[in-house]
Amino acid sequence: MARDDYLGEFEHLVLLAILQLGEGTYGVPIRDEIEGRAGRPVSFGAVYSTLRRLESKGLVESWAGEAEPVPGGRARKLVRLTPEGLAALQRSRARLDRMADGLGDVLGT
Amino acid sequence: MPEPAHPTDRSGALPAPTRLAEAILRGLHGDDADALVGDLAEAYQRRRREHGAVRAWGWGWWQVVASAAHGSPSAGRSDTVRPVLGARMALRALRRDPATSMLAAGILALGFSAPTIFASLLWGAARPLPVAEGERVVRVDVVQPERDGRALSVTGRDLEAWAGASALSGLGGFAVRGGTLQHARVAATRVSYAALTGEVLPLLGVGPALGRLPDGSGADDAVLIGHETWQELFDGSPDVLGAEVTLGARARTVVGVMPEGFAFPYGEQAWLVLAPGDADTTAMEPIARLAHGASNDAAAAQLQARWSGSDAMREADDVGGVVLVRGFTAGRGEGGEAVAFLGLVLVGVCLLVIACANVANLLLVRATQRVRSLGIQAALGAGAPQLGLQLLLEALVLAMAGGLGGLGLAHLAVGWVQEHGQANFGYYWMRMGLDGPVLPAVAGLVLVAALMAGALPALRIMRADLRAVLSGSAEGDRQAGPGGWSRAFVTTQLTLSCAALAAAGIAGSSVFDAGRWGSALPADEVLTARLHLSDGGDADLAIERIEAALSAEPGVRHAALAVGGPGAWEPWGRLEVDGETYDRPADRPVTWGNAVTPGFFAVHDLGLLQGRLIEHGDRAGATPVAVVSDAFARRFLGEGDPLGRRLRVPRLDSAWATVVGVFEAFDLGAGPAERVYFSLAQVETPAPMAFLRGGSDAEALAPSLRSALAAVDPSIAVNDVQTLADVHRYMVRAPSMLAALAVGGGLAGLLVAAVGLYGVLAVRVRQRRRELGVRLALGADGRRLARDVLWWALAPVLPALAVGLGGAWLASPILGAILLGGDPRDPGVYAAVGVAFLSVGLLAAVVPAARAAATEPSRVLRAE
Repeated sequence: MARDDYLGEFEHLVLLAILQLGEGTYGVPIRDEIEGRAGRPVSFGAVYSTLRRLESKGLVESWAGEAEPVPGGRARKLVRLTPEGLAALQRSRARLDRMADGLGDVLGT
Repeated sequence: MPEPAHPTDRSGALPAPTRLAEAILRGLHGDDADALVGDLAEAYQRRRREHGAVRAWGWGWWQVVASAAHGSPSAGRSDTVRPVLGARMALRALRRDPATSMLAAGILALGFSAPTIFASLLWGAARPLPVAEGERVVRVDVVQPERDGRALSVTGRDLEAWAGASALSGLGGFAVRGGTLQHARVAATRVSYAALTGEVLPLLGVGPALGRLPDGSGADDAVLIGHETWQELFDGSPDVLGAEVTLGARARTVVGVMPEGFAFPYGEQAWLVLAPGDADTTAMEPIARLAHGASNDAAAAQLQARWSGSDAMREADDVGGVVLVRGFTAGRGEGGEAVAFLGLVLVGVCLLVIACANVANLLLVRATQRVRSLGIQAALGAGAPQLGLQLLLEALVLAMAGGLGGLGLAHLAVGWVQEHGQANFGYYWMRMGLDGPVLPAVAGLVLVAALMAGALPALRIMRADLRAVLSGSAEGDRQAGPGGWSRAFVTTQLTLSCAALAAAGIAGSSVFDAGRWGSALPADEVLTARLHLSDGGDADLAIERIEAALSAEPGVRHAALAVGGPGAWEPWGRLEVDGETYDRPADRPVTWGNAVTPGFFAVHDLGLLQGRLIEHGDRAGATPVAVVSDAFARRFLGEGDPLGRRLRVPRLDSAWATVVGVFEAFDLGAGPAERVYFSLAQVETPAPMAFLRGGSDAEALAPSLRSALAAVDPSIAVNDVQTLADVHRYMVRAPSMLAALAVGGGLAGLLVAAVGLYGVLAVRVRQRRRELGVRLALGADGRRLARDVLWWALAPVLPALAVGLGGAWLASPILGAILLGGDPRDPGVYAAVGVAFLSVGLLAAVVPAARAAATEPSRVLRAE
């Protein structure tokens, strides 16, 4: 199994947020999704540095959206999950399930 | 899918300053910066709509800082990166050693708090008048330089001559007076009031909170009263308007109540307008408002050109005088407050220097401990400036944290001083607070402190050959070690803290000495009050009748009147003893006197040693007499019999007084023991103090005091009814507070210096552990090693003690000028400071000495 396959906790959250939001999402909703579901404060810097890392691993890909049609309007960086990213999520989820097998009572799941 | 945003959200502003935030983020997020900033702007604008500007602003700046911390070194290429990277490394270094970081920030907080508190006190004393554009309200003085700067009085005619000066938009004058305020419903009360020309209140831009201003002609006999007087005497009732009162033996009508807190010029309680005719002949203090754009010097030049001398000088054909224009509150400092506050600021700055030296030492030592990691950074391409910048930024972060902590401590201390000391401030406009120039001054101190604390460690690392350090060579160790700088820092800290502690000890001793005043006299058993006899009455007759009436009251054992209390420190001018010769008038000694009625000695348990005391027969018109203390007799009257000697003071209008008795001097702690008492009936005083002594509860005599005085003359005003102990407590309150602040500052400085000494000793023991291990292996006694460490501690402590105490000794005359009394060169104080200082120095060495003695030779040598 490639070393790049292992996901850190925040990488997990970012990938799951992209999966929840769908293709073409960007920084603001990703941050809102993680804050809303995971209940942890998140900085845009953390999101973007994680997206760069995931992109370097080939788990997400990005493209520039159109800039706002106003002076000074800034373009969005849109992202989507690659097939490799989805596979990495699935493997990671399966790994966790195997580790937690038989611990349903203890974990309350 | 993401919700649509407002079309201008992504182009909107970030939390200000936008360019700085964008530069930081762009430096660390490279090509992603545009999108990131756009996302941040969009979220920020949404938060502003949902939660308001303030919360959104705080959240936005947290986002900027947190996003910068997650930036990638490889993403950014701009010059903004290096400082930001340095800041990140500095923050990481501080987080890695939280104990040292918190200690350094705490030390700096102490260092910042002291000068901040004292600067706030100084600013409070220099604050402009609390009126609109108060900084443009000025006072005009006419002084005679050839007569030691004596100020000349100015009348309404002189103000007319000055009218029309273009540098002034308003000009008026005032005279402060005291008088008895009487009304049918209230007891006669002494008040201080100001007689103003009609221009003064409009010039100040202040009007009554209730009622109206006088018509300005002075003809309506109108009077304004202060808010406090209105509340105390008239229960705050609006019926006060139109009330007929007597002020200064003249009937007047209350037409208005001034706003709360208004007490122009120096704490007055009532105001009236002078009629033009009265103003022409009234000696006044001029007050003016500068026109927009005009300066004090321009106004002074215009007024000087119009000045032709006062009436008296015109009559004497001696025209002169220099016109000075200054801010109204400038230079005011009753009782040496400004000098005292300035002295405290210097103590505070000393404390800050000590703190900075301590933190510099800590950073230097920590840089030494991290030298290998710094060396690796250098090997990986970090330049010396970058490493030095990292250490400077560490110092800046610590200084900012310390500055915030210091502001917090100062806020608490200033609030306490304001609450407990407001009554002691000399002028009503004095108000301490962390405003005005104080905050910018603290911000400046933060930058200076960061430079002071960080510069030397930064320079040392920048100059070291870190490759030699990495190779482990002795030269590398020497270059990167703290070297002699560390010891120099500690010695500097110790010297300054010793001097500050000595000054504080002297101040504290002075207050302590003054505190012994109460034990020498039955202060809790004596009730005092200030009386104001009828304007134009027969003061001599009244004094005799008052004393008799007071003595006859039930519960009163002894009663007396006097110019001042037994501990009054009022000089009565220069003494002249018959038969003594003086080369110059200035050679005559200053004497401390009082004028009393016969009961004074019984009230205060003053024992007679020789001759007799003041008697009822010592009336006006009889031969002036004096009774002196035994200390006075020994010092000024020589070895022979003091009885029958003659002396005179200016207060007696050049009359010679014969010494008829000697009483036992009492130790007041502060103030001289050489005292002379005259007969009150032979000294003019319209406002004597009354003293009553009964049983143990002096306050129970207050009704007797008032009833006796009312029976003698209902127009006698009675103020400040309190026990003698309360009088004393009031006198020492402000000096006690200042002494407490000084002692606190001195002890804080000593603590900081002791921490620095401990740090240096700890590093030295660690650096020399090999040598210690070898000595122990060869049979040296652990106690001997511990003693060696104690000597290392004494090496900087002893010279610091000598220099610090010596400096305080040399500066003691300056201190003596602002103390309550006592000896600023009291050997006991210096000895106590020395013992305390040595003890703390040795205490700082205890742990390093114990560690040295506990060195395990086998472990140390194995590690080598």
